[in-house]
Amino acid sequence: MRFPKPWTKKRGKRMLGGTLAGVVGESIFYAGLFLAGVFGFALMLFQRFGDSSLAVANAISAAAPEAFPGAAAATGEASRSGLGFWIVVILSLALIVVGGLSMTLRLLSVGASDERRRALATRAAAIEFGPVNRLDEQSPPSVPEGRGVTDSPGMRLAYRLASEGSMARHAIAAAAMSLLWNAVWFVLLAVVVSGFFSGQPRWVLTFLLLPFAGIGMWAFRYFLDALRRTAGVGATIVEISHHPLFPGEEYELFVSQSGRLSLRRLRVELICEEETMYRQGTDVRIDRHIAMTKILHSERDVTIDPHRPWEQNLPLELPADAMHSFRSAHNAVCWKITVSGEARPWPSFCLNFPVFVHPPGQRPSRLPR
Amino acid sequence: MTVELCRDDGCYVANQSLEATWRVGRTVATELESIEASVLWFTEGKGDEDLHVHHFQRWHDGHLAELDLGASHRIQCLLPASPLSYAGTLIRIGWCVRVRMFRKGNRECVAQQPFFMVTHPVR
Repeated sequence: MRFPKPWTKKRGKRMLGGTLAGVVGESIFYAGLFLAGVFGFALMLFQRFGDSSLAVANAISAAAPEAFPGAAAATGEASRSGLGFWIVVILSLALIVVGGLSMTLRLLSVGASDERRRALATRAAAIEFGPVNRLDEQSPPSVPEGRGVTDSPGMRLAYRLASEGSMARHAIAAAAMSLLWNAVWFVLLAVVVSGFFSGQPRWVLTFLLLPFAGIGMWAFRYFLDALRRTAGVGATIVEISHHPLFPGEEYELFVSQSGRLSLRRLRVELICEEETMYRQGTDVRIDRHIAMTKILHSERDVTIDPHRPWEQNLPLELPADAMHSFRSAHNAVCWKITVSGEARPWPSFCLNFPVFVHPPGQRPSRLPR
Repeated sequence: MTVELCRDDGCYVANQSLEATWRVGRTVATELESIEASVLWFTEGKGDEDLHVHHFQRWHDGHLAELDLGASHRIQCLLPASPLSYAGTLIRIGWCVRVRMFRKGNRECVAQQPFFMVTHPVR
């Protein structure tokens, strides 16, 4: 008999032990969690409501505190343990819920194939969500609907595309991080200074303030960079003549870049990207790979004036053999239009505008005008 | 146990029907608990595997006794519009017809036949 070695590296889908041993082991583990929770919860309930001696001790200490000093101490201890009681109760309940649910789910998966469980889940989802509406019927399965893309009509073309991850949001996040870190640093500085004034200097905290100040300065510079990027680079507008897109079809694209910019290079690209999500140990990692890039426009030494934005009408032709947009729980194929610029004196920028490619076939005729 | 597709090239057009046959040999129905046949797509590659069952049939108990296991049995379904078969760098999307046989004593046996789902018929 070969014992499984937990320290050996698991390669691929090969399993260290048998399936049955795995199910039994997991069930024992979750049952242990559940029972530990029940034990902790019952113990706390018993101590709180079942121990009548606590009430007696209370009564005795109130009547004659000098004669029974131990009773008074016990009462004080009990009242001090109020927070601890609730912590143990919450932890016990969490163990009961996690252990019970996990064991139920694990046991439900015994004796049912992957296919059967998925088929049941699909049927359950169909019952839960009821009959699909007309738009849902038009969207092929596993292809994102992309309704957000068609929400706003454009000025020149049918739809104005929404950008992914705005630069203003980035600047706000950088500002919040910088302000919070530096506020904490000033609070610590106040503690150190008050220590020196009171004649009890805190040397460890004093020395820690130096690296903390370095991090604070880096955070502030990062915020200034983000602010410069947001303020200097004006609005980027991308509009498209049709949506969703179909392989082999031709479309029209309108790109506008405003701001006061002197760009070394401005580039508009159509990108198809593969995106996968996988677990590595306890971490969830996302990996991306650019499957296809098509440069729609590239221009060097572009100067943009605040009163005269850079505008361009571009043809967009999708390859006939292009894969459609796809999204499942852990994998995706995404299409996007990127506008990137190498700017000076402002930092470079790159904005993504997601689009959705449908497989050839049904064509929804939903135009804003 | 064998699974056979109705097309030799294994290419099926989206939104059109698929036909396959499966057959179990040298097994008595009383030795079996159930048989499942499914048409499904799955992902392979760097990311965690995703699986979606498009068509599913299960034979057990009384239904299983009525089956002539030596004969060929037909699976037929209308394929959806997507996802199409895809072979990328990080992701591969594959379709297959899978038949799973559960034997008494917690033993199971799987046979599957992959196929391509495409937009236009291959000439």
